[in-house]
Amino acid sequence: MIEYFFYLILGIFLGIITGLLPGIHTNLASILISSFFISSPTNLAIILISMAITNSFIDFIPSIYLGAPEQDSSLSVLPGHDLLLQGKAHRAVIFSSLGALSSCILLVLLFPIFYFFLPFYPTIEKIMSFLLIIIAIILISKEKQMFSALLIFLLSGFLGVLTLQLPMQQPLLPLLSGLFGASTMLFSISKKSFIPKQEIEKVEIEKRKLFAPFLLSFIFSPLCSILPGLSNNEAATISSSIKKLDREQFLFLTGSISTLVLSLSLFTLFFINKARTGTTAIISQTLNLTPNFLLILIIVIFISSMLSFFLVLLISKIFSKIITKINYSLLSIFILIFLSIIVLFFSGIIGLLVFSTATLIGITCIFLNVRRSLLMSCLILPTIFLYLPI
Amino acid sequence: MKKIQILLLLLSILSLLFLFIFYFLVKESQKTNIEDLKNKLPGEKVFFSGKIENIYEKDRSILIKIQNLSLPLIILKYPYENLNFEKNSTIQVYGKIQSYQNQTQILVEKITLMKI
Repeated sequence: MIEYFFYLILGIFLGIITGLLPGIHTNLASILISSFFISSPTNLAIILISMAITNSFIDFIPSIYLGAPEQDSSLSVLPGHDLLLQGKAHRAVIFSSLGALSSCILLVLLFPIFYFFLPFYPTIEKIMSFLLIIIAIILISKEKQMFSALLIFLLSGFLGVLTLQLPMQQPLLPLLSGLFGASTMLFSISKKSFIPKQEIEKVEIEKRKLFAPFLLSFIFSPLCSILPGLSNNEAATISSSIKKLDREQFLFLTGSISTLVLSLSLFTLFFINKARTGTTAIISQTLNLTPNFLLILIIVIFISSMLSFFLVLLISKIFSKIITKINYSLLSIFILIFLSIIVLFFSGIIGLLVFSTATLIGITCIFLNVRRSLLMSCLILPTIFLYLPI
Repeated sequence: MKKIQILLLLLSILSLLFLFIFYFLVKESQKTNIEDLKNKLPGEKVFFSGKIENIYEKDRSILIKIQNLSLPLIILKYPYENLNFEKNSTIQVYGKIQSYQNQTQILVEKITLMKI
C-alpha cells in the first residue's frame, strides 16, 4: 500500500510539471513515462492515472493565466482570459477546479447508470453525425452575424479535416494551440493588454448556479468517453448550445468534463475493453483491469483530485501575484516562441504551417466578432464526416 | 475595421488553400512505393497507400496484410477501432518500420481509410 502511495505522489508531481508546461499533453507524457518505467504495470497504472488527473486540474493555470492551452482545456482560454483581464483569474481557476473536483461525485453517480446505458450507445453512434449537424446549425444561427459565423465554421472545420489527414504527429497540438492560444496572445499583444492586479479573495459560490453545468457534465461526459472522435471540447460546446451558461458556469463545465471523461475511460476499459484515452490505452496494453484494481484506481482518482484541487489553488495564488509583475506582451511573445518550438519539435514543419493557419483563422474569428466556440468546428466537422453513414 | 476584417478573411482563405495544395504535394512526394518498403530499415518513417488483402484481429491490435507488400501492418486498436477496415479497402498509412521478435513490420502511427 505504501508503495502505491509513493507512486501516486510521484504521479501528482509529474502531473504538475506536465500541466504547467504548455503544449505537453498528458498522452505524450504517458507514452514517455511508460517507455522508461521499469517497475510493475500496476505501479505504472497508478502513476499514469494520478498524473493525468493532476494534469487535468493544473492545465487551467497556463490556459487561464498565459492563454496557452492544451488539447482538453482549449475552450477555457476564452472565458479565462476575459476574467484575467478583469483581475479575476484566480476566480476562473476556482470555478474550473471546482468543476474538475465535482467529477468525483459524478463518477460515483455514473457508475451504475453507465453500465445499464452502454447497450444504447451503438444507436447514439448512428445518429451522431445528424446530432452534430443540428448542433452546428444551432450554434451558427445563434450568432448576430450569421454569414461571418458560417465562414468561420467552414474555415476552421476544413482546417481540422485537412490537419487530421496530414502526415504528422500530434496534429491537435498545432491546431488547437493556434486557434485558441496563439490567436488570443497575438490579439492581446496588438491591443497592448496589460494585466490588472489580481484579486485573491474568498469566493462566494451559489450552489444553485452550479447545478446546470453539473447536470450537463453528467449527460455529456459519458457520451464523450464512449464515442470515439467526440472530444471534451465538443461536448462542452454542445452543452453550452443547449443551455446558456455564464463564464463561470462554462469554466465549471469544461473542468468537470475534462476530468470526468478521463476517469470514465477506466469504466469503458473495464466494461467494454475499449481504451478511449491515451492513458487507458497504455494501461490496457500492460495489464488486465480486475475489479479490485479498478477500485484502487478509483481511490487514486479521488485522492489525486482532492490533493490537486488544493495544489491548483495554491499555484494559482502564486501566479496571481507574479503575473502582474511581468510584462505581459513580452511574456506572450516568449510563450508564442516556446509554442512554435514545441510544435516544430513534435509535429515538424507541416505542424508549423498548420499552427500559423490556425492562428490566422483564430484572429479572423476575433476580428469578425464571432463567438470563438465556433472554432471547435475544427473537430466537429471531422467527427461529422467520421460518423456520416455514407 | 472593415478593411482589416476582409484582409484577415482573405489571408485565412489563402492560407487554407496553400495548406490544401501543400497537402497534395506532400502526399505525393512523401509517398513511398510499395515495392521499396521492404528495403527500409527499422526506425525509418514511411508513408504509403495500398489495398487491404486480409485482416487479422488480435486482442489489442489489428494485423493487416496489404496487396503486393510482404511486411505486415500492425495497428494498435486505440484510437482506430471505429474505422471500418474491410478487405479491398484502400488505406493511407503513416508509420514506422520496426523489428519485433526478429520480424520486420510496419507500426502504424496514422491511418486513413480512403475508399471502401
